[in-house]
Amino acid sequence: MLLVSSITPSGRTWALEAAIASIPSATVLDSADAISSSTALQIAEAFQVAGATTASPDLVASIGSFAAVSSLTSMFTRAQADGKACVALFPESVAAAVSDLQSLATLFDVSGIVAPDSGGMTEVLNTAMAIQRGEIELLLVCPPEESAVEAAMREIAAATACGVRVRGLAVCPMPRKSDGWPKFIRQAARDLVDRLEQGVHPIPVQRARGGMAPSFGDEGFEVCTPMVSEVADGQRVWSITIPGLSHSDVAVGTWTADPAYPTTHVVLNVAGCIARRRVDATLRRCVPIDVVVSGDSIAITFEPQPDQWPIDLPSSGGTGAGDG
Amino acid sequence: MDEVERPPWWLSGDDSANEKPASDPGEGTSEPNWMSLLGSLGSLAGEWWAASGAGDHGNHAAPAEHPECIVCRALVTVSAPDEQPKVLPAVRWLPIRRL
Repeated sequence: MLLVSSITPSGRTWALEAAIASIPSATVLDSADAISSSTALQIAEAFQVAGATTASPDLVASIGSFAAVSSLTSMFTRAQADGKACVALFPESVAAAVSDLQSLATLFDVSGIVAPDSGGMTEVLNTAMAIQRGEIELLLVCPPEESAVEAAMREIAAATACGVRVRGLAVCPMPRKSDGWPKFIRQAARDLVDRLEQGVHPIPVQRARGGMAPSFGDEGFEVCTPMVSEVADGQRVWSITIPGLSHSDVAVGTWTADPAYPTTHVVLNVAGCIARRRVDATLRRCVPIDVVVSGDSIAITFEPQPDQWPIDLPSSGGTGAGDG
Repeated sequence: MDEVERPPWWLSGDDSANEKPASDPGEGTSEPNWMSLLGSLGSLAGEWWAASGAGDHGNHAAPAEHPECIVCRALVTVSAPDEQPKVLPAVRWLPIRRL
């Protein structure tokens, strides 16, 4: 399924055009349908309080998050049922929705409350796994405008940090000479596209040409995969490169879902979206001692925690696999 | 254009704007069954509450003598400060060096 999203509301038409140009045979799903008819709305209505004069921003944000996750899950479930290539216009931030969906999936996973026939839970987990496998892609559209380009780089960084496969970034519409735009404005727009290309490299960036939305092949940027390499004294370095990271706020941490181990996940907060990356069996027995962020890359150095290693087993020579 | 002043949606109780057309009962849906999910959680909570024996708590004079009662157990836990709740640790955010 290809999710199309636009940084500005006016770009949604371009987003759909770019998606259809990219996959001409795709069925277009209407996300507005998913939201309005979903039970999320009924739940929101259930929170009506007669006589109340204020609504908690947390509550509103929670309902919004629930609606976005529900919409994403519904669309993927419908796309799966259709069994054909589908395009869906997603009116919210895809990165934020994926981040919330993955948090929900992690909650289900950690709490162990998933039953085979538990409806929504199973579908949330299916959607989270599809994102991991790269079956849900993002095509983002932004206008050639300074703040929109910055926002696009943050959205790309957050989405790729969450493991979303990005098919491409379209810049639409470009100012045209035939429409009477002066040369300096056309040049400024082209300079912004160049900056965007450098900012989100290696994600494909294309601009509208001749008033037509660009099309993207399926050679989009693969899911960001972390690497683990062993350095001196049994220390290991977990590293990941995230396009657009240098233009985004970032926080790095570790978390454990299993009290038996010091670390089960690396947690990234990229542009306000939380991404959790599960670590392999070796890093589970290690603790972080240093974090370096350089450009678009993050490197975390781990050292073995002695009480997690049998005396006779050296802490070096682990599996080295990442994101297991 | 004249605008009719309407009370906020959460105050009015008027949900006519959000009314959906009646759907065909035979029509399948591919959406997650969220209400069913919440309903099952509520049902589970109800069964757990009933099984906990909490309904009989009113007759329990000494909480320590009724470990089967969830309310008594909570009271005993609260009054024993050495008992640390077993919770998953929060995210440990790390200082970042920028190069």
